[in-house]
Amino acid sequence: MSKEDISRRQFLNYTLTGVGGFMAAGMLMPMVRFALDPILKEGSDQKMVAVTSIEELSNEPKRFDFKIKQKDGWYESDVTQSAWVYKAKNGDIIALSPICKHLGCTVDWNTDPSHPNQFFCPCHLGRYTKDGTNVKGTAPLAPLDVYESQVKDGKLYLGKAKPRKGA
Amino acid sequence: MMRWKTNDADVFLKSGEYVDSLLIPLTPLDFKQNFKSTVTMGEYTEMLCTEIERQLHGRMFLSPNFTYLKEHGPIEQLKSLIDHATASGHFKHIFLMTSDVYWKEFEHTITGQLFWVPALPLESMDEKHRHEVIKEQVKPLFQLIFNEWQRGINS
Repeated sequence: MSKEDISRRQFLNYTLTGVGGFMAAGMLMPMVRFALDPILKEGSDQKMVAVTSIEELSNEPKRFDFKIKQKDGWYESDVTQSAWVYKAKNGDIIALSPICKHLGCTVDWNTDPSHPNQFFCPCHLGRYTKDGTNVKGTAPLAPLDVYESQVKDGKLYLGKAKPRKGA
Repeated sequence: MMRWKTNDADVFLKSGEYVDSLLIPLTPLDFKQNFKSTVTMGEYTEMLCTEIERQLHGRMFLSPNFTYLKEHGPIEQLKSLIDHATASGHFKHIFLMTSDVYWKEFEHTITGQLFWVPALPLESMDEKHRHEVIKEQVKPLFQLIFNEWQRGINS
């Protein structure tokens, strides 16, 4: 109640600690952020992109192109990516990356007349079965990457393409 | 990616035996009366080449643009460039891409396949349609490239 509740000394102590704390935080925060930056960045890359409505999908792989934002330092660019998408027998939606695991050409579905119903890479005649497994004896040594996928409100969202173990 | 980049050069030197095709964009320069149409040609050629390189970069190396002034008669210089590329031993197949009709008459004197694709005015189109058009335009070219590669296997 009285004026002596808080002494002049205490008051100065409190205010100085407060102000000093802010100053220290102001100096330390950028440093901490700087150290953690790569970790914080990772999250923003994980965004899923809407690619198509699921009604358009069938048992036959179909190619969809979509754009993702790629950050390279300060430079942000749109990169076109493609996916081969189909419904498996059990109803699962499979989205395969079209990037050949050999040297990175784009594979096509069912374009090699002598090997129907396979993914075919025109560059070095690599082949993959429908589930993306590389055919032994052809150039590629690993199966096609699989996109993380998610269905929301009847739309298919794709995330990152994840590599799988070789056959 | 297989472009004129140091990193790509490393990959190329490591897996060079697989990359046996060179794609050279032929880009005319003109800063005088045909400035804009020349730019359009170059841009269009570049878009086609980028798309081809995107899909076939495991076997196709995209060369920097071969730029020229028409009045200098660049045919000899192109020929010596092609000779140089072939003699390097890296490339079995040479493809040339251009929107400039100038090259059409030399088609049979050049060792290498010439793709002459007249430029379409795409500047008013939005990004998505533009990509669709380019993809359609490139399709028959892929067929020609595959045929050329096929011939290489059979011969």
